[in-house]
Amino acid sequence: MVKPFIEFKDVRKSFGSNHVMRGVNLSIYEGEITVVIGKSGCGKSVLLKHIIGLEAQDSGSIIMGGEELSAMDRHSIRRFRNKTSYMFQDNALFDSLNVFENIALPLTEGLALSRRETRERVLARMEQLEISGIEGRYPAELSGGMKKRVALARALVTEPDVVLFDEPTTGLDPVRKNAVHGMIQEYQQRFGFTAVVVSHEIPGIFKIAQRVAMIDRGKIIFQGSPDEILGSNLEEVSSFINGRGVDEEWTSKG
Amino acid sequence: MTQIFIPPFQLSKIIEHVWFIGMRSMVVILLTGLFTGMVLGLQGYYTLVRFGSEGMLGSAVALTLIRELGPVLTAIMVTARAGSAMAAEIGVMRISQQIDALDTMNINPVRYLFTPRIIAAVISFPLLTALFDLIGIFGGYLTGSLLLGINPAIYIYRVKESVLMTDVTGGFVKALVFSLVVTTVCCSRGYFTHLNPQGGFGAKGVSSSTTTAVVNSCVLVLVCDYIITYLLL
Repeated sequence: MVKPFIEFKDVRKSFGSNHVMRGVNLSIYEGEITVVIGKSGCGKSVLLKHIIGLEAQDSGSIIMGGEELSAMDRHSIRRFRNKTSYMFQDNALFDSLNVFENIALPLTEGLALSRRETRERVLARMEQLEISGIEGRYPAELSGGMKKRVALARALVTEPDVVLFDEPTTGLDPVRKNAVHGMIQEYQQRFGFTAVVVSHEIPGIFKIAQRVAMIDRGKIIFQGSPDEILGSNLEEVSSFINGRGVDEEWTSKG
Repeated sequence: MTQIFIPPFQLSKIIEHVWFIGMRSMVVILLTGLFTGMVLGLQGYYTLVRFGSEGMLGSAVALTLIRELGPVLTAIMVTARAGSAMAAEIGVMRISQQIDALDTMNINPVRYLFTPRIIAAVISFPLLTALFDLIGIFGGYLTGSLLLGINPAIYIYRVKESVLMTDVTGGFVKALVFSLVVTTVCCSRGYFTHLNPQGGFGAKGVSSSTTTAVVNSCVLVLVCDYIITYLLL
């Protein structure tokens, strides 16, 4: 049996009285695209932030490549982060840096590569993502779709083993959404990284997913393939996928 | 925080911040220095003339500026101009997840954001203070000699005779300490915008952090000024 590459075991996390994760158990497999779905505010982004170490769990364990994250020393955390990229919901591009500097940042500051090697890698990645020629432009001068590509280029420039996507299509029109989904799938196949995608885009996101997990009330209530989730008899799952019963009082009024 | 002092020190960023903190503060320092010196000349003259000691105006203006007003007013003016901008810029980076992005890229945000600013401030503050002192002494000369009729040679002689090297080094020690205080407070307030008890996120959070940064820096500059003066005397 294939062992999960990333594994959440009974992970709990609270912010004050808000219990966001109430015992999350989740398995993410190497070289696959795992999509995490769930209602807004149910803790999907918090789950991603636990993987990269931006948040620490109150209890439970997160195992990455056989190593317990909370038990890692500074050197191991550094090594792990060098292999992991995070694409933020709002891209988190640096306003004061141009496109080239934005993409080069993890190489120059994070990996301390030489100027020549950095330039070669950045330009190569820009060409692959079809954003050549905008090196000198600033994020404020780019369209939403271009910003996504720049953010994706920055996430991929370090040649990571794991890429975490936090709602990568938020704020995009349907055409752009499909383009971003296609982009994730294409580059995942080309580079072979493990992808974890948090998304609301149902059923569009299922086209690129190998595995889907649904989080509800702080727990993973379903894990399986896209076909399995579409055929699920679980009330919470089918209600969510079909856009029913999210807030009973509002849907019944409608 | 110890990460701040670990190389590499990002030379291009340091130069960029020296330009921002130092060069772009020059106009405001020249103006405030000139008028502070002119006011000191005016007030000093009418106080000293009562005792028949108006010839001491050069000493009074120079020592007041070099020992106290130069470093303190420079620090306060740079806080208002550059410190507030530092807090706001880092605060915006915090609320737009740019600092989280640095974390995920294995870049130490404190070292990346604080170090160039602190080094630039350590370079800029003493130079701006020296400029403030010089232009202030010139302002005192304008009112004392050109307006109120004190012999220019006496004014200049009193300045040269009364100012000792210890006064100058004392002023520079203050400028160095203030540079560390102002940049550390302003950068920290921006960095911890999300933990601001008066409303962490959004534009309100950044505005609150900026205000707190400026107020805290100014108060701390005055507190440190008292402590350093006490230790130097």
